[in-house]
Amino acid sequence: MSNTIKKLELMTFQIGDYSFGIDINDIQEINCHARMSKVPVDYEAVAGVINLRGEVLTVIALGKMLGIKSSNAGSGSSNYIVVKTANHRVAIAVDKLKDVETIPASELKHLPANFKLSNQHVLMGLVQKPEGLLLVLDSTRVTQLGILNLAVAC
Amino acid sequence: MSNTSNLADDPELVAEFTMEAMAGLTQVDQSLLALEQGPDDEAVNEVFRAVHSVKGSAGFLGFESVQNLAHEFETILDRVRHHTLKLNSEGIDVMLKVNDSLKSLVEAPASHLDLESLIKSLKDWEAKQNHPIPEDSPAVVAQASDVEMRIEESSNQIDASIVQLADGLEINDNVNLEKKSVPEVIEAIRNAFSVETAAAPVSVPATLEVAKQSVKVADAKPLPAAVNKAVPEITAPAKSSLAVPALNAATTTSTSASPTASPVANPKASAHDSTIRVPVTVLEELVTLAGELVLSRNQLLRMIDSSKLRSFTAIGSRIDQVTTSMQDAIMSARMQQVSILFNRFPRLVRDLNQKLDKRCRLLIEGGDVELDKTIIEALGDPLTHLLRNSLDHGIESPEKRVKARKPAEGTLQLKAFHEGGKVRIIIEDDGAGVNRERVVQKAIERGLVPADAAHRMSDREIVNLIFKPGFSTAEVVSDVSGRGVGMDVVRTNIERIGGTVDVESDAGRGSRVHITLPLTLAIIPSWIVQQDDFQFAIPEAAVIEFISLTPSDISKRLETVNDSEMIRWRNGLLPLIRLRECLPTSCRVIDRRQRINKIVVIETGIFQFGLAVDQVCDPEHVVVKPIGNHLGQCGYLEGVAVLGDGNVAFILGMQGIAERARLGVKVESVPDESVKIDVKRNESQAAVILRRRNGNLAAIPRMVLQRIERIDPTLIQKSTNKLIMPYRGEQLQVFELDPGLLRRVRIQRLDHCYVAVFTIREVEFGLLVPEIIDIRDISTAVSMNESVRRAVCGTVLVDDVLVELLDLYAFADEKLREPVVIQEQKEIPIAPSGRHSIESQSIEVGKVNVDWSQFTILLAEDTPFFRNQVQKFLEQSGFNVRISDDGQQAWQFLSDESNKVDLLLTDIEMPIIDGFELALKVRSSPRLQDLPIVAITSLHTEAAQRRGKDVGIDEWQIKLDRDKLTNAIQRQLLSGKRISVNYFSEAT
Repeated sequence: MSNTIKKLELMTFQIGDYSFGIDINDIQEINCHARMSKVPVDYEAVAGVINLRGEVLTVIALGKMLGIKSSNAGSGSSNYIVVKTANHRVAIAVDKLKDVETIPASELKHLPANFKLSNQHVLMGLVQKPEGLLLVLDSTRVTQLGILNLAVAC
Repeated sequence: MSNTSNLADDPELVAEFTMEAMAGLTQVDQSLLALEQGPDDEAVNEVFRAVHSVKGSAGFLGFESVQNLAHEFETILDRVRHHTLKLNSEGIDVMLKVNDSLKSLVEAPASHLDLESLIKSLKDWEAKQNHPIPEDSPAVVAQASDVEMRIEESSNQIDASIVQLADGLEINDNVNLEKKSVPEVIEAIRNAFSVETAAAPVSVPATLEVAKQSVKVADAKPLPAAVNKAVPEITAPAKSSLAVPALNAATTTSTSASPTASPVANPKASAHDSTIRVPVTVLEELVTLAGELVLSRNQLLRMIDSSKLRSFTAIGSRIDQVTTSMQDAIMSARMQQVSILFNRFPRLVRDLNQKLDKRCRLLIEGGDVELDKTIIEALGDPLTHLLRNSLDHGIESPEKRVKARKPAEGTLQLKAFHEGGKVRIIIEDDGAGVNRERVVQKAIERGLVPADAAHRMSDREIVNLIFKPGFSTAEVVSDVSGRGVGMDVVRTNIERIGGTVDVESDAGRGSRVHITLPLTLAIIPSWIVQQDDFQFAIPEAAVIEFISLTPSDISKRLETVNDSEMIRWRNGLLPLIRLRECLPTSCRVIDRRQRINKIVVIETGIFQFGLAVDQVCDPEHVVVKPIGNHLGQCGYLEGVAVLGDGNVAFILGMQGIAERARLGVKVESVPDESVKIDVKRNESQAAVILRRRNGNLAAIPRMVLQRIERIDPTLIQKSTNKLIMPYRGEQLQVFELDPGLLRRVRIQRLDHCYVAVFTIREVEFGLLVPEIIDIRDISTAVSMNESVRRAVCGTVLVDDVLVELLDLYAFADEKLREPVVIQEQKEIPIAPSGRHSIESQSIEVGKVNVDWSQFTILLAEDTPFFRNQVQKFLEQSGFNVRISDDGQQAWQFLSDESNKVDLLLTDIEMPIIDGFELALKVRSSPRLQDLPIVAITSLHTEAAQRRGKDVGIDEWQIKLDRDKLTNAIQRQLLSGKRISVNYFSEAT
């Protein structure tokens, strides 16, 4: 994998105390003013839905799904990253948008064995940065979450 | 034959074929036109390939006319390809024509075109070319000079006729018109142009020349106007024939005289050009964007309103108008003619006539009525079912009809028309009509209506009883009807697309089914209701009425029985569901019992209940959006509606709500809450339902049975303790499900009973069935009950009635082990099954002993019942079984390299990742690509199987057919290089 992709261009953002990155090629857009509606279902990790130009997208509370407690994302006014792969599209609620960073693919490392977040299979790996760890999301997995992933309690 | 007609009935398959074929044939057009420019081998090959593939797939689908025509076309193209035949423009002409007909055949395979003459013209041309003339031969030169001569002649004639025309017009202007002269002028013009058209196909430059001449005519202009003034009705043809070449010449000369333009106007071609194919996704996106535009418009209007900027008001309302008309226009683009659907029925009727030995003609009216694409697609099955029903049950045999003084040939009418903003479809037959007495009697028998109520019912109500679930008067199971799809399914399907069905019937004179459909699905008239923090949309079609209750009413009208609430409504009791209780706890504003105030009375095909909501807001036409697939799985939300103010409302699925409220599940019939399995809604299997001696209902999965024979009970004879009946020239051992059944059948002097034939270890057995109650789809939500006898593997609810699910294999195993019965089946132990294999875990296959426990099978199955069943008997057969609840789990398991899996056994219909996708994933993984995959499913269609093959599924097996399944697994495990030799050990 790392041989074929020379460089990763990542959109970085903050959820709780954690920094995340996601491949910018999988980002359809970033939306800061969509109004979110709550959904009458019992899935912890579903923050709600947004009406994006007539298309209704599920908003994933990534923080809740991964079990990050310090996150407010998805509860108040929020920023949404709309992730798009093949046939699926979801919005991720994030606390703070940061920057676009280019990182050599070789710096993407596997998660250490004792790394424990719930549903961490949505992470492709991590990048060590001077200011801390950057967790890199696997967009395909993020867009194809199953009920079980969403229903988890923190 | 029946196979191919089934294939052609699969709308998806046909649509795919149509799309592909049309794309190919359009390419053919272009290539042919390119060939007209000069020989080009690649273009010829392209044409050949396209026609060949159309022929292939048409043959596969059984579209004979397409196939035949394509075949002839292909034969000739093949010769062209091998240079034994030379293409000329005449040939291309013929080919283009053939291609046009192919296209229209592909679009509507049932349409009747004069293929004979078409094929003949193709062959004529071929024959003509069979004596090819060398290119530079004198004949060609002669021909060319001949043509030139004719052209000169024709242009002279045109010149002359123009002079004549001018003269004529002059005369005309002078009013002293001699009546004779005008027709003369016209005649002259006509002559001139007939020469021109005859010359046209031969030589392009010639036509250009002619066209240029006509430009002169046009330039000399005031002509058309003058002619019009003089004698409009006669000159019209002359005018048009003048105008067309003039126009063409004008365009061709301006584009530096490209010689392709033909001056002969082809009205058909222009009709083709006026439509273009647009992918549905593009249309859908347009619909979405239009919806969004509506919302933005609303915001804009609101802003203009509040800011009191008068000057913007006009612009605002203009945008308002344009948006509305744009939305309408886009919506209309989704419309399709119902003829797409209707056109497949003549074939169906023809086939059924033959099969059922009836005579019936089908009259179709209103094929040009347009409906939303989605509705057309959803309408196919219900309509087919209704037509089958009419033919099978409605139209009598010719003899009976003659006896009843009706024409021997029955008439079936299928009509579509617009009425009051909706589309109505009527299916009318002049058959026997519905027998009211029998319907009432059956309905009472089945407990669908209480006896006393039945006698007070109106005729119409009685006839419409046939839509009740569980209703079937069919006494004979034929392969035409009684296929496990009842009228209730027809009704549910039609209601799902927002329509209604109704039957009228005159006994002895025929029946009439009315279907009323909305024009489009994308916009649904709905009622918006409010509950806690949420707005919900309830489709208007499901709402009967609203009840508003004051607190004092409530005490009078609310009844509570054993925690179930009911409300008195129209002299009856209506189950009451409080919407808040259907919402997850976290979504309730306050966790208190909802006060009853407004009640929406809901009726769907299956349920009728009152839904208590906080507030009923406005009726609104909502634009329906799909809900994300994660959210859709909660069961009670069917979609999202974006309201006019941009807010979203959730569309309530009434089935899901009813299930959530456990409506209709009788408390006493649930054996044990802990073994009750959550209902998965979209999986079901056809089952034969019969009555046991103790009165219980029992079901046998249809797919386990080979066939059902209707026999005379006296055919069954007793020998020692076995029951034997003759069957296809051999002896068939028949089992009684309950002892003494046969005796009872004989005592009751029944003139017929049924024998269900099934196969165990390649030997056929029969099961005596005195009475078949129904053949229908039953849910796979089976509660397992280990304690009951082995023959019963579980229980399932069918219309609230508890039905025992029979395990015929266990039952037969048990019977065969009974001491008196000689175990003659031992000689064929290809597949171990049941208890035989528990003792001997290894069985003989060929010459090697295989210890099956070396193999690990991964079973991916989401239905707990099947999962347990299959796991149980695989383990009995000695395999090591690992299970996963769905495709995703299975994939995770497989992805882990530490897990050794020798074979993947997967269900097809699963949430998140289905069987197809799972197989694809496996096949695309380098490590797993050789893993044998066996699919087990209740999805037994050819299309599904084909798709299975495409994604790399090795075998396709039916659930619960354990012999075949074990066989298949063993075969796959032992086949070829997939496993190492280590697993084998020489037999001692």
